Amino acid sequence: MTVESPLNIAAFVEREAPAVLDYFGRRVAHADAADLLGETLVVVWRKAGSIPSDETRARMWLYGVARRVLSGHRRSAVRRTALAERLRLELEIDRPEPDDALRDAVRGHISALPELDREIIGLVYWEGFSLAEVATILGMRPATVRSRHARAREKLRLALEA
Amino acid sequence: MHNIDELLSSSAPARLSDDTTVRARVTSLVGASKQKPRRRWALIGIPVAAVGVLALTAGALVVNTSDVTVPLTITTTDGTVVSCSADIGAGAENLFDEIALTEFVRNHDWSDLGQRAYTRALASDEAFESYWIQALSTEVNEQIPNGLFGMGSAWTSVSENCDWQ
Repeated sequence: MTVESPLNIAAFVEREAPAVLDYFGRRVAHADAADLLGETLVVVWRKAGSIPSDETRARMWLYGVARRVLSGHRRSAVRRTALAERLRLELEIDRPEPDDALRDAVRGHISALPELDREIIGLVYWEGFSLAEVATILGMRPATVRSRHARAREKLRLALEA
Repeated sequence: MHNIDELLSSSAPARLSDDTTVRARVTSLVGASKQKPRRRWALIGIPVAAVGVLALTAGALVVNTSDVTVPLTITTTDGTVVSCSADIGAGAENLFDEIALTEFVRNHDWSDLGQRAYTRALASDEAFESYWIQALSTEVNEQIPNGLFGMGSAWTSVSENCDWQ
């Protein structure tokens, strides 16, 4: 018999929130990542009853929320809170990365991909999700994600070999 | 020659959360966000004269959270200008419907809401003050495209603090 223990939602959100901030920080200006995290948390608590009890599924659910908050952000402003503002100020501090021409070239080619392919590549290689998990996060058929991933990966490989 | 998968993995931008100050700020934000609905209403700091709620589907769970505060400026029939505000919130049982709905509510131009609600309330057969909040709720809901209510339960809530004395 398998007994599933209930997910401690507060601990789960606290544990995952820094990674969600990183997710946003890799896709928008660092300072905006603070507002997006704040917005995501509002949705998460409002929908806490819908969070799956299984931690892996809960993580996919959380990134699904983050992904949709991000989509909304591209069309409009998000609300500000004082604590998000403090985080925003912290994120505005410049954090230069060491020079790496190859890394910059890879990022340049990724940024030239269509938005959906870029998101698939990011979720797999930067956030560490499997293709099946990415399909769940994006609400797409796994076969579609697999084929888009394969095409995008091949396109990047050819671009980097050129 | 580099392996393409290794190249892609190693291209990840640095983690903002590696910074201990950033991580502490995130922890604070998580803690505060849990109490947000209660605090937000407490922070309004003004008596709420009335609350109108229109549940669009029977059984919808209605939570009093505000997504936007709209200033209302109303010129009455005797030329008096009444200034007050309305808090509008929206939600849905389906998460994705909720995100679309709240985004609309936050970004819609509500600038003439007060005057239109006033006109509607005046035209009603009911006593103005008892119908005012219903008029406001109806005006809000008429502005929201039907498609945003999705397939499941959705709700909007309106509270206001207008003084008609």
